[in-house]
Amino acid sequence: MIEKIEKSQDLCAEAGWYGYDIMLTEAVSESFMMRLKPLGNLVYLSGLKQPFFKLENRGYLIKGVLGAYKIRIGVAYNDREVLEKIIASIDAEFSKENLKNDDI
Amino acid sequence: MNNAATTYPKPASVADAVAKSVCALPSEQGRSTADDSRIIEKCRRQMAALIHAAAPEEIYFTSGATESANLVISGLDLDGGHVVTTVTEHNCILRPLYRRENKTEITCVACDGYGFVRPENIEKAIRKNTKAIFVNHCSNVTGAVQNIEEIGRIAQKHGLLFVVDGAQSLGSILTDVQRAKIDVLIFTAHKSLFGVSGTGGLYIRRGTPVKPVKVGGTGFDSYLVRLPKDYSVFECGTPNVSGISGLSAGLSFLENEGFDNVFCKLGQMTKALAKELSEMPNLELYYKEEASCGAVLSFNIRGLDAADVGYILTNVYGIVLRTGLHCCPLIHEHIHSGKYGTVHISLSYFTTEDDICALKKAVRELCENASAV
Repeated sequence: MIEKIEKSQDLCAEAGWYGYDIMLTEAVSESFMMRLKPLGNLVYLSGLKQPFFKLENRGYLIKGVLGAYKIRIGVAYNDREVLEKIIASIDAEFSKENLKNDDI
Repeated sequence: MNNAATTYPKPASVADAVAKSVCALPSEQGRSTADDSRIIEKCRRQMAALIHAAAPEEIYFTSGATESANLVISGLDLDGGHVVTTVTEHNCILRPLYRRENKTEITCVACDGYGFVRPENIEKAIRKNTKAIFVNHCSNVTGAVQNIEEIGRIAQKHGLLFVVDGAQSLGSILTDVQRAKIDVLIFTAHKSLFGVSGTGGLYIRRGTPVKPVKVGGTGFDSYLVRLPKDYSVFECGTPNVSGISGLSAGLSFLENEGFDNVFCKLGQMTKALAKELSEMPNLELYYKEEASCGAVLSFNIRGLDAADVGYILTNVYGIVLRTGLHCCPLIHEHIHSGKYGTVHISLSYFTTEDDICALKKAVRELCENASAV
């Protein structure tokens, strides 16, 4: 689940996007990433020592590396409504992911 | 690998000098029975020697390049006139200039695909009412170094003021205000001069018509509530003694190492890295050896946004660098780096062979994987 949301220290890094770092209580897994896939077009670099993914959609993007305890959200024009919707979606997918693990 | 923003690490002597200053009996230049003025005047002499200024009195300390640029642009009489600048400028120049665009016409001269501006294009942009030329000596995006000696010659030929932003060049490239006929040189301490953030300054050639913008306590002529019009006061208020002490120690470090050795090492490391990067698949490097000798390189990896490359290098490989527009909004259209800017590597005298090997390995892995995108 989401532990903390922090404004990215390097706002400039996303070249116009407003970045937020989402701290998680669990490491990002491949199955979690796949659950987020409906949120945008997926770029996935699976060959890196820690695979990288990015989901991009109109007005926002989500990126992270597998095994890390954080992901980054970029929001165009710092649209808080969009940010809150994405956070809610991520939270919901985390819950589903945990439910699935509990079933096992 | 983000030394163009702020060098890290600093020489130990810089930290020692700042700490010593903080722990010393407080004093202000001209305003205390204790005397810290020696360190300030020493630093002024060191800066003057570095840039070949005629006298230390032509050096003024500020909080950095941005304050210096604002002081100069607000202090020059540009109303109703025209200025020539370049698309390679940092926002520290562009924003103060564009803030007065309803009073002063601005022409931004284009650069080539590597950030180099042809001096003859600057000359072509000069009009009858042109008052000044503003040029970024070394692009903080591509490392392209402008031919300031030729541009200075053009400025002098047309009777124009020549203002140079040396934030990225001082400490890594030879800068001679006499040879380049520079009237105003803006600098910052926290990059290649190894000072601390919040310290910088400007060189103003004696007789250059820049009016002081800030007024306040100066430590002299304190009985006057109005400064005489001919006063050239660019420092007022309590000076940043700790910052200036750090800058002085940074300059002493460079003097001891030998400026030529420092410039040579940075140039060789950058050139060697550029060669290796240019041979990597899917990598586009904005570098032309003839024009670039600053310790800065910019690239993109096809299929990935610059920000993604930076995110991966930091979070997977532990390499800190900078991505995006680098506060230079106009250059990217000309170097064709796209709306997300570039990945930017900047070296320091303290960058090691191991650092460079780790970077090359990571970028190569990324380039090879990017082909799958």
